[in-house]
Amino acid sequence: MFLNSIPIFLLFFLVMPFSLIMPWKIIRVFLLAIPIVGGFQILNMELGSSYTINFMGLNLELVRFDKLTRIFSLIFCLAAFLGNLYAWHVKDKVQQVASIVYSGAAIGAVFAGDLVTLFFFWEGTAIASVFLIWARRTEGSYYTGMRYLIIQIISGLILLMGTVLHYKETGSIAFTQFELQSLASWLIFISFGIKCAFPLLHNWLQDSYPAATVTGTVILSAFTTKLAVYALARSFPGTEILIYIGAAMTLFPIFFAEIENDLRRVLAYSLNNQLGFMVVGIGIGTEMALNGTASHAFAHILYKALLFMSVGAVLFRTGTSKASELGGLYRTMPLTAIFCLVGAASISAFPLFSGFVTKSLIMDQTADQHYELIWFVLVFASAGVLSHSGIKVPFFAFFSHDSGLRPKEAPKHMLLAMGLTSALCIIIGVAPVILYEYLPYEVNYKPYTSYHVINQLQLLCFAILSFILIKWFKMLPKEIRSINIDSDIIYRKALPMSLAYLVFGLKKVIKSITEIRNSFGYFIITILQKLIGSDGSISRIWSTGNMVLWIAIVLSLILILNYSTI
Amino acid sequence: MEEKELNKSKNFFSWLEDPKKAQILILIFVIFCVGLFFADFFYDRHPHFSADKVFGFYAIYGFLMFTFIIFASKVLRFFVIRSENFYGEKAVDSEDYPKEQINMEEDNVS
Repeated sequence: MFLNSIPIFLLFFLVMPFSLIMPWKIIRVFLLAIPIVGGFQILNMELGSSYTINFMGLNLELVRFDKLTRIFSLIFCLAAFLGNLYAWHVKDKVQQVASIVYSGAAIGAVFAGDLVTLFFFWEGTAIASVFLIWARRTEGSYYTGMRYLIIQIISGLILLMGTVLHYKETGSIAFTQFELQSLASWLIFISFGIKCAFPLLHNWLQDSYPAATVTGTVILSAFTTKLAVYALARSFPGTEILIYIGAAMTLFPIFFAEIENDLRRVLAYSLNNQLGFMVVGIGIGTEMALNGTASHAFAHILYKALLFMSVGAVLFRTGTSKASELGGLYRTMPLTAIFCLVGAASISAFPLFSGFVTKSLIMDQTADQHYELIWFVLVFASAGVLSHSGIKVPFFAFFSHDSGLRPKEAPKHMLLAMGLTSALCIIIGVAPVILYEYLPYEVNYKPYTSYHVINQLQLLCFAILSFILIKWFKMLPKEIRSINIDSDIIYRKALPMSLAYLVFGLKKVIKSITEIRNSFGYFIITILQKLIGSDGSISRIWSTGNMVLWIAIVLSLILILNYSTI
Repeated sequence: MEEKELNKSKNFFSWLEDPKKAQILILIFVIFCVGLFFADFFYDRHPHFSADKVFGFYAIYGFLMFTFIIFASKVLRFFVIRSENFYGEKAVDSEDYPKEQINMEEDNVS
């Protein structure tokens, strides 16, 4: 096949020049066909193949294909296909081109064998994806997109700095495993961390994903953060600090998700929490833990996309995704409700659903490597996932009180996309071997043991029991039209305000300096006025005798001074 | 008209609307939970640490932690809640989703 000789990401960029002349109806066919062709291509590629070009004296490895690349590029193709199917109705060429170029850049980054190529695609994903936010075409989305773009570009620039330093130190630009020692490796680590939404670097995610278009959020949810997970798994496996970062990531979003009103933002928090599990897996760094990370990323992309699709369908039909405005939609959107429940069961890791067979690989390794505290945190976080993604999202959108809204069921192509994604979630859950075969290392793990199934059911069912009781006593956090401040207040309010104060202060200082200068100037002028003004003491006509006297005094002073120095 | 609407919106979830049936469902669920709790007698447990050796550990931990999450987030809300237009026009929270990009069809009852 001739495609063997060209890097797959080029396929995705093909649509760009065509989009200028072709109508949207034809482009959307390409949007579905390209990921399919790309996916088959990946399945047929030989492990270990590579494609290098020489560019300005650097050997750029555009294609480096191993098992880790395979699983991530496969799921990216699958996500691109499902996302584009969901967006079948979108007539906006900007969104069409952005989504295909974005997924192409993400796949290109996964194939990159060196840091320069990685940087190129790293920024590519940033620039392409921001159009999915701007495509909403409102003032709010413009500003949100700007914030998103700035943070993503900064992440890329830090990666570039790290690459340059690394090249200076070692003479190599290979994108392989790094020890977290030199400044260069720290820079690369932080760059990955920004895209991976590490705690305190995370807010771009919750800020921007709910601001994108209905379909844009589905596509956004798949690539950027999982690309960062891939990059971390490639470069920093077994870096212990990642275990603690990951554990923190699983924890704090739970509480924010619980009180968030916008369901798409709830899902963004929950995405953050799921990334935490993957990061813990990378931090542990054993073969099975990395298998866990890769498989969890795979399953996560599917069920997270499914959840974003179902809430997106609600937004598409009702114009809002706010929990306070929704409720009782099961009456007219029953299929969407079922798909949402499948996504909820998958993310909560119910047996027979995808999350169960992937998350447990990570949990098991945490226990095996004796990280007791981390294990308790992860079990806690599993109950947390259930609370916001498993219960809150489907409950407040489709059940709960009747909002009075009677929207029509989601359009057919959306239902098809959600149905396919649901089917994949269940297939992975029922027959995990299919997924395990594509993992980076050999899998020696059986998820369906009696103790594992029963323990997981105990955890989840008793959590649900707690929910029922709390609901019974009407003590659930109320759905209020509101937002919650997070660490983004630092750069959205605190910094601009302190900058404003700083400018205000500086202006004051400058003003007082001017005043002092002015008054000093006035002082000088009045003295000069007195001395040499029209009747100043100097400008008066003096007698010659006086003049001679003064000259004599001055001369004698000079003489005295001269002699005293000899 | 109303009759039609009711018929139209009947689906596999509709039985939930009957409070009695919902209560029965919850009762069945509670019995299932009790069964799960005592299931700990009957299988070969694989505890990793000392805490999860405790009988019914997962059930107790799940129940307590879920309760903790709900109440802790209520405390968190007290500190972080703000009005929707806190960030003004620089965020999407206070603006409507552009109507021309979506299709807000109602369920056709006639």
